[in-house]
Amino acid sequence: MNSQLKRGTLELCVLSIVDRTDCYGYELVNQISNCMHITEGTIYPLLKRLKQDGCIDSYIVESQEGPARKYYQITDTGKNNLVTIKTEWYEFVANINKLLEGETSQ
Amino acid sequence: MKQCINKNEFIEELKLQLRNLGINADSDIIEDFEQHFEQGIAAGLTETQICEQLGDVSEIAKQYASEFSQFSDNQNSNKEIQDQNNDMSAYSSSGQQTGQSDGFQNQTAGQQSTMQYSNKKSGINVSGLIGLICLDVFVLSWAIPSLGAVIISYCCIPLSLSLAGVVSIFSDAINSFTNQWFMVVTPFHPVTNVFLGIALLAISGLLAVLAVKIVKGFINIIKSLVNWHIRVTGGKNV
Repeated sequence: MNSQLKRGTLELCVLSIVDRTDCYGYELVNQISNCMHITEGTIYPLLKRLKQDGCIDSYIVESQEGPARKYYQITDTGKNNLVTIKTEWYEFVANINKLLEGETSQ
Repeated sequence: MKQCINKNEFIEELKLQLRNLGINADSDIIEDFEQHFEQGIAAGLTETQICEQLGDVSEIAKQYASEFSQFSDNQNSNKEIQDQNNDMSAYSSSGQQTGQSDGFQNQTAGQQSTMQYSNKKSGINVSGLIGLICLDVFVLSWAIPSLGAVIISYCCIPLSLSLAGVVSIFSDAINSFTNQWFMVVTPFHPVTNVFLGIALLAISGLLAVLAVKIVKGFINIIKSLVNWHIRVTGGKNV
């Protein structure tokens, strides 16, 4: 699958996962790799950039049984961005589908 | 692609690649990957498997460069693809503005900051260039060759020791072949020669291993210097 397409939708995927529930890095990477085939390690640079842009935040949760985990949560800025990107995505997909159906009906 | 087989190798390689791209491998980045490995191990995977899943370290490093730096291959190639995607009005993760995409206005300051990186003209940094020329003429022009010369002379040590070792081991055989015109003379008993030769070979072996590391390190330094020069003057990384 086109890698530019994957990278373009990655931010949308990350934000929507984190919007539903706070996640730690490993969990997030697994969920995304279930959905698309990308170099998993490259999700972390995206997370760092999203954090710098103020779309997500992180906090540490200490644990008795296991190691401490850094959880990511979405911010209000992130929520707003997510709404925008989601709308654009649905619009985009609808337009492409319309175009494709136009092709096949000919 | 360097295949890492454990966590430390992966993280060290990542630090090296980031450094080559001029990115500070800060605690945030390292923490992310340390924790990823911890979680993976807790889930029952081996470090090697986790390394494989995470993927190519240089690709990851380039991704950091593209998300944060203004002068990187990835950013520039993203830009080209952006121009292609302009026509498709595709949404991209680096949030760059496209010509016909009114629907894709980026509202947030954060995304505007990444836009700044892509909109900034890539010109020649003149003061940097002058500074670099001074550095090159007054310092690097003698420092680098001297260092190179020292390293070359160091490399000669294991070479000559190994030759001496071989000659010593086979001194008896050599002498019986060449007789008058070439003699290997040592103050030792023939048997001592053999063992001395073996010892010399062993020492030269150890020194050779060190020499390889030193040469590799030197080459890395040169590479980083070249990349740094290129970046300061405003070009793409090699």
